[in-house]
Amino acid sequence: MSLGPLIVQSDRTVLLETDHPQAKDARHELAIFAELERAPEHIHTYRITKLGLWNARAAGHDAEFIIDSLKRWSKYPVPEGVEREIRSTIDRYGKLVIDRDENGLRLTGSTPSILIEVASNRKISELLDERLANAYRVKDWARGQLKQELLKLGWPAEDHAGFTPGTPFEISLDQTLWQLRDYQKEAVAKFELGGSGVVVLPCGAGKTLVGAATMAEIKTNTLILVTNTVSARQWRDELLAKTSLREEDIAEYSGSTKDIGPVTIATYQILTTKRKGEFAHLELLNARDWGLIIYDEVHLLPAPIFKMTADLQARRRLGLTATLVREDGRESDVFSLIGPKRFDAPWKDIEAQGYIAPASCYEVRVSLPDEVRMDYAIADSDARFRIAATAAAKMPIIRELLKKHSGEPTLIIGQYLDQIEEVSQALGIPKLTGETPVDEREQLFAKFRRGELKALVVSKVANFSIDLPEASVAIQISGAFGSRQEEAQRLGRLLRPKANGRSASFYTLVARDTVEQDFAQNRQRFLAEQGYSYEILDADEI
Amino acid sequence: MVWDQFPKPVSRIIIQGDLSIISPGPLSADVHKQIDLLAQSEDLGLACRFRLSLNSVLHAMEMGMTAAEIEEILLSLSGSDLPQPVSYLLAQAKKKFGELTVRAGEGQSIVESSDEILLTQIVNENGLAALMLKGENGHLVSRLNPSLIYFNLRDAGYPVIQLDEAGKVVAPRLSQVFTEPELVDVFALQAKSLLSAEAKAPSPDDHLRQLQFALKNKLKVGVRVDMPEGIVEIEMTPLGIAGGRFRGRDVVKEAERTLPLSRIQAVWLS
Repeated sequence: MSLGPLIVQSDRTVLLETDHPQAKDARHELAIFAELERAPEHIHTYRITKLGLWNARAAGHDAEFIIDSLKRWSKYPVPEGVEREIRSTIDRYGKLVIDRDENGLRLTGSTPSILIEVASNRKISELLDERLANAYRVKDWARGQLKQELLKLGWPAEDHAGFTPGTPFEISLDQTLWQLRDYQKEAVAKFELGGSGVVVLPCGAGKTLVGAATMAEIKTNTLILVTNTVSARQWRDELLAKTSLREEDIAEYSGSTKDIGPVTIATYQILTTKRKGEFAHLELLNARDWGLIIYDEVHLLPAPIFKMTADLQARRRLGLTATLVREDGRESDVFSLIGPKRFDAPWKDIEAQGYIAPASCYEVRVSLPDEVRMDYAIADSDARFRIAATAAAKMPIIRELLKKHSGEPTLIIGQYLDQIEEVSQALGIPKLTGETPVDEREQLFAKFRRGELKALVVSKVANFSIDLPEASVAIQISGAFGSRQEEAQRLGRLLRPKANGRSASFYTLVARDTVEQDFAQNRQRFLAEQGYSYEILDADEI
Repeated sequence: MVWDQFPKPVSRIIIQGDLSIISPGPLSADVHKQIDLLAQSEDLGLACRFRLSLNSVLHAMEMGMTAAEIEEILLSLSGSDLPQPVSYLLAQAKKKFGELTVRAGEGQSIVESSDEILLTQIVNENGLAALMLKGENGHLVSRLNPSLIYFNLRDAGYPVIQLDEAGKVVAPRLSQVFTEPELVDVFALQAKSLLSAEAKAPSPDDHLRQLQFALKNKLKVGVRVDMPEGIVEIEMTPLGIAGGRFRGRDVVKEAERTLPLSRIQAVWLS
């Protein structure tokens, strides 16, 4: 025990004092086995979870390393219960192994009693065939499902059954105009070592390039699954610009195009489209001998894709995400079906290296005129949110902010289409919504990127996986607050590296003393917990 | 000595932009008492976490503190400037304090504000319909008692304060405040409480507040009720408090039931 920067609590949270001289070293070790829950300016809160411990174990760290690390950096004695739980949790990992012999898949156990315990579970017994010496034969199709069920029982299995190499395909990086960053190289190396798993990098830290570099290492037919068509096009553009791949090598499989090539980019939506109750495009998954499947934004992976992924366990799987937190709580499915976390770089570290821009968040409270307040007062609760969110009193503030940040690329983000239309008309700024055709969207984005357009009014469609390299100001005029994921994505739009190193600004306009202000409290807490600076301003301070 | 085996208490707190207050170690009893007055306790581990909110600051002001005094305490305990959201919160509380009041009138409660739109909004609030508030001569009246109105308005996010007959601010949290004799042996008390599994029944004044607390935090409660068939104890999941009645789901019978608040003799969190 030392007078270190950590306090280990008996509820398995760990507090890190960030101003402590040893904080940086402690954080590096802590990140291996604990999940960062909150990161406001002075005290960060981590949580030691079973999945976190198994992620650490999968990365080669044992219980002694974890406990030594806690004791070394802790200010007070580590509670005995926590120590005991770490040992017993870590001890469970790897006691069961899925591997392969000449006759197929096997589940082997370090002791017969564990094997008997898990095999006596009804759901697991359905996935097993005959008993072998200290092992069970696993049904050919059951590799993924077995891992899922074993994890639910608290016995995560190590998967040593290997991967199909896939049909080879030559891919290399073209680094004439750029260089892979050190942390990206490290992420690729860690993934390659494990063969499947998740790389966690903040928005704007170059996850696409980690995908491209992995493809260049493995050199095989690759299927890339992304959230939407715009994202698919951006993957294609990035791969064409930064790798040896040519146009004819990359195919798009989406609502509008159904091509298959050595590198195929498909949307989650097309894979989950049903016709007559059946998934209509499942054949894509076996259309080629894929040696690598990349799941972009793995925290948004729709539930049916998990089921499909359970059948793809023989293929290398790379998950890319900015956060392991899923709103639906299915983190354990990501762990068992895509794989453990292979690499994680805290965004503060990457920000410190200058690769992502710092962001400041501002909540601007806008007073409503009395007639609008009266409309609000007599409206029912559903209508109240809309009245507050779409209040015309926000318009002068938008103008003021545009004036203040004149010349800076700015996104105005709204939830309501009629409000988006109004703002777009009043300010003479092009709008971009879900109804905007893909080609027009791409043209607008291209103009925005080239600096020909300084501002865009966008709807929710801009939230996910759209690369706007030079957006440095966002003005959120309305939105469904409360979703951590949505807030993270919105801010992610701003965190692109800025050529001049200027800080990004994220404004949210909130109608004073309305339900919108209540929702804003969630956002304040979330953003401050993520480590962003947060200020509350009155509209006349702009 | 046992004393030496305990981590040493700290008197320093850390205040953050997410409105949390954290003690980097076990808090000394007097600092704990001060923070408890102005922030909501969230986590009582080796290190304690509290959270400031408009409600918690208004509570402190009801106890007689001014916004400036609260700021002074926070500044002196943290030893550094306050994060901007905390300063804004204090300024907001100062402005809101007294803007909306509730007091007892003749056989009724009277809710007053100089802001008529605010009163209109309260009357139209679906969630407050059970308070039976209605407009009368520029203010609102209800036949329910002022405390019930106060707690329900506060829970709905309105910065109401309660006034007594002389127009002085009532501090409904007063009896909840932890008062500790000087020179008390904290560790002996802690040891005694750890060794004793005996639960103390709350005083009758606390019943309503405990039910409100349980409802807000979705906690199950045990209630001892004087029923026509005799005294019964029921474990319930609270669903609502309105019109002098407590509504909840009977955990054992898996049925919803409504109990008159006046018949509840004891409440405990189960």
